[in-house]
Amino acid sequence: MKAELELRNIGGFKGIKNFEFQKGAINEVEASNAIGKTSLIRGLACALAYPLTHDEAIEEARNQGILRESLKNIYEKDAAVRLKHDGQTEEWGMRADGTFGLLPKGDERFVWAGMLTQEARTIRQLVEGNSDFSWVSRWLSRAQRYASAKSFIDLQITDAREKNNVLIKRQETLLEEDSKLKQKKEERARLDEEREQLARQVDQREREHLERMKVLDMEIRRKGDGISEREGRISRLQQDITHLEEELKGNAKDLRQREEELQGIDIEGIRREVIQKVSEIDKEIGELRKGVAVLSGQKSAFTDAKSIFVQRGEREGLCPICKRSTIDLSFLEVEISKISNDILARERKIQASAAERTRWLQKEATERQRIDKLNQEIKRLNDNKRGLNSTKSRTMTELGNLKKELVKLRSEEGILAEERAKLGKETEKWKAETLQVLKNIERGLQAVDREIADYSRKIQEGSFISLYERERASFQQWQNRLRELESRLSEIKGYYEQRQHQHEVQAIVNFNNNVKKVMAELGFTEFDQIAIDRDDMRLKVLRSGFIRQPVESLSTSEKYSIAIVLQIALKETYLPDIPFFIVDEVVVSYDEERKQRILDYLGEMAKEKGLYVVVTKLSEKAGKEILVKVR
Amino acid sequence: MIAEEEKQTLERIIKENPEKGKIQQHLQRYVDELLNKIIAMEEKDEGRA
Repeated sequence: MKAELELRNIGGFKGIKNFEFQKGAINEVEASNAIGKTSLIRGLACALAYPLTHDEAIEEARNQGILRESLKNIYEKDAAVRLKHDGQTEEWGMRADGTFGLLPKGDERFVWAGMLTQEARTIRQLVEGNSDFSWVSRWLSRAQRYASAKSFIDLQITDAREKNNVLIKRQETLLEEDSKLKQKKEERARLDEEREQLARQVDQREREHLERMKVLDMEIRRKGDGISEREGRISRLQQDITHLEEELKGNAKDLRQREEELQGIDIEGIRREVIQKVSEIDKEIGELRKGVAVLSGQKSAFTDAKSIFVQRGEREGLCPICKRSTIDLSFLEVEISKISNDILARERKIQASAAERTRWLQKEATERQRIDKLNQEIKRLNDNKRGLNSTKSRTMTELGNLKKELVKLRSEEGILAEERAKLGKETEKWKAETLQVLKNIERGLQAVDREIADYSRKIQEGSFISLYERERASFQQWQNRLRELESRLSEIKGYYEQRQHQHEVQAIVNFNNNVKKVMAELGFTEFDQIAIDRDDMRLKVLRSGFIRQPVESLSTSEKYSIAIVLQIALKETYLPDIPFFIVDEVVVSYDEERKQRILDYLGEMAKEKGLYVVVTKLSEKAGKEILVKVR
Repeated sequence: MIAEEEKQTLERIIKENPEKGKIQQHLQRYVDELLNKIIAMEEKDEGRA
């Protein structure tokens, strides 16, 4: 049975190169220097070791030059390896854009245990004199898986702790935000109080302003009323004065009339006229009375005569007056009647004259009465004039006073109006300023409210958290969960730790047994024992008599001898199922006998276990070709 | 203390997954289930309370 290896643009190869290997035999790869032996070995190793999943395996692959990136021919854009063996195909490819295509199903432990090259870990360590072989159990045995598992669980524990720390920090942040929220609430209360206080001040000031304005308005109104009242009074007084002046004019006119009338009365003339008239009337009355007396005598004489005539029954008789003529009775009666009438007329005349006399006498009295009356009227008019003048004077004084008062009131009214206007302006200004302050407070309140809402929302939202892509839960819940999870993970970690240790110990035991077997079969008698110390995981090389020799003091050929033993033991212990084993030119460092024994052993091993053992060999005979020969 | 059944599960993960990535993948799933169980237990406890 054969294995087919196809390399495309690998290492020094350009294009496709195909190789075949015989199963159950040593396949010697012969070529001159720089023809491509290493490229072939690395390409083959790559197909068997990939995928590399552990950092240590990647690091080891880098040390051995079999990282994919370093395998591609530097002049080409892509590369590929295909290995067909035992009915299966392992292949990988690197695309032109640098990405990787197919991946084989190899075993990364191949980089430690599947090949012995100059760059192999065993060779490197032995050459360096480094006896620390703890990696053998750690990376090659199943302990490695436990270590990976433990490491992953450890990461989960760290992650849980970090999440818990995040929770604690967020709790602290929440506390800080809660504290800030409290501060903001206090600030809000303070601003609110400030606003209330200011509002109260505004109200108070408003009330005071209104009261003051009311007082001022009242004062101004009062002054206005006073002014109106004064103006009314002044108007009335001016009317009064006009009336007084008119009255005075009328009074003066009346006075003039009376005085003129008085001056027009000639009382002495009247008196003289009265005296003259009375004298004349008295004289007339005297005359009339004398005539009445004469007539009364005549009448009496005639009446007596009549009475005598009647008594005597006579009808005639001597005239009693003239005593010589005869008169009859009828005559007498006529005469008596005539005389009676005459007397009556005269008495009437006397009465009329007496009345006339009285009238004349009364005329003076009347004139005197008129004079008295006129004088009285003049006096009254003068008194009235004085009174009017006095009244006018008083009125004028009063008017003057009122005008003064009016001026004063107007001035006071002006002052009050100014004060009112000033107060209005001051209040408006103060109001505007206060309103600005209030607005600022309102803005501050709004800002604080927004911050309060923001903090409240943050606290509300921040009090619940989603971890591990689970539903949001409270901090306390998550802390409990994380505590429980950490506890459980610690148990698992402890379990894997224990299992790792068990496997490490067992792996070393198996490895040491295989080393012992290989040593015996190769006939390496110069050493009593080569083994990894279970206590310190260091390579222990015991010479004859079981004397321990430090690794660094071994000769180069001894180091290479030990290396081949260790490498074969590694392969047998840890990679029994991988049907390939690569030895790259290392064997040339051995003497011919040892080299033959090693190759024989490898041949037996290949045959017995159905392995493809690939051994490189420098051969100048091969020319420019790489020859793969079955040994 | 880890129960025997759980140990078997943990061992199966190691045995069946040689690759580190696969181990981590299965363990991640295991940790997720563990957390689910813890949450379920918590809800059960709260329900009882």
